[in-house]
Amino acid sequence: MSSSVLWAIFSCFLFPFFLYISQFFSAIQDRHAIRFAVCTAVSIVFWIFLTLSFYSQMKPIQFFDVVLGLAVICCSTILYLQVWGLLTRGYTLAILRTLLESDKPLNATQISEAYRNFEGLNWIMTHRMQGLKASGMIMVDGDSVRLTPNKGKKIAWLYGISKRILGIGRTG
Amino acid sequence: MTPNQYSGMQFGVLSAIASVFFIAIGLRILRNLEPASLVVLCAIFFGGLGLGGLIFFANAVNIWTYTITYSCLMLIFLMGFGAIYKSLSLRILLDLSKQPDMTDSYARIYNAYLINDSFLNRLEVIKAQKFATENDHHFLLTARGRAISYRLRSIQQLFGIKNSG
Repeated sequence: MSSSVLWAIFSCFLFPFFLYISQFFSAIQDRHAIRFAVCTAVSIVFWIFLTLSFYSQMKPIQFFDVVLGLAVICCSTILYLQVWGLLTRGYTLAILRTLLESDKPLNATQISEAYRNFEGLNWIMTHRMQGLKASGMIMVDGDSVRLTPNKGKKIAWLYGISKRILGIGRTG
Repeated sequence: MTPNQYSGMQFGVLSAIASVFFIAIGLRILRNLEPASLVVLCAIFFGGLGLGGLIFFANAVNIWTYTITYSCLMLIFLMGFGAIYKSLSLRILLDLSKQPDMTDSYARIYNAYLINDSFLNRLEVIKAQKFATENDHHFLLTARGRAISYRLRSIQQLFGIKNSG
């Protein structure tokens, strides 16, 4: 295994530490997606720094080793992203946490009201709709939601085709 | 790049293509199995099978290159699969594309996707996984659900995540 790959693995192990440190920067502490992106960038820069600092003159860095090192960083970033996604956006886990924070049993309506520290279930809808609107996939006009003819329609078509290719009839 | 590394990369790409092919077949045949579990099991199984095959039968292939290439491609696929399988936003987009004028009301989307399709479905999942019990339409965490929720809260607090959802 080349030193480039070894330093990439080392940088991957430090990734949770970068995420931990990032909470102390007030500008990004509540913006979880940005925190993750910043830590990914730091991890890549750290890997490049280590690879360049400790490379051996006897055995120069090969382009292919750099590609493999990047692939290792890519693998770990995707794995961490899955876990980070669950921690920051996990819907079912957030329901469990709502039940934990309550000192008495709750019915469905009470859970939906107490969801996300009493921001309510509507928060998810608002959050998702804002994301779709900002990315130019939908237009919102009062109570009416409309798919944009270019980007929105294309993504919906691509999603439908992907579901058909993979044979996913129902989704989770 | 040495010939061994090149072969490892080629085998990694071929194994990933084969895995995706078998996953697509498996999702059509094994309807009773949870799709997410099926996909993860297939990815691990075919990756392991390829690695075992290379160790025993093909000494001229670099197994590190194979492992890294296969893992990277399969993780990208799994990320895409996760979005297709779970994303609420994508489901809303597809539903909108089937509506007349590609337009729908916010209230209907909220009720259809967030309340009926998603929220009530998740409560059923929580019950089915024995994380909570339902008594007289009221939900109470079981010891298992409480343990997981505590762990979740601790990890969230460690990383400074105040809210999720």
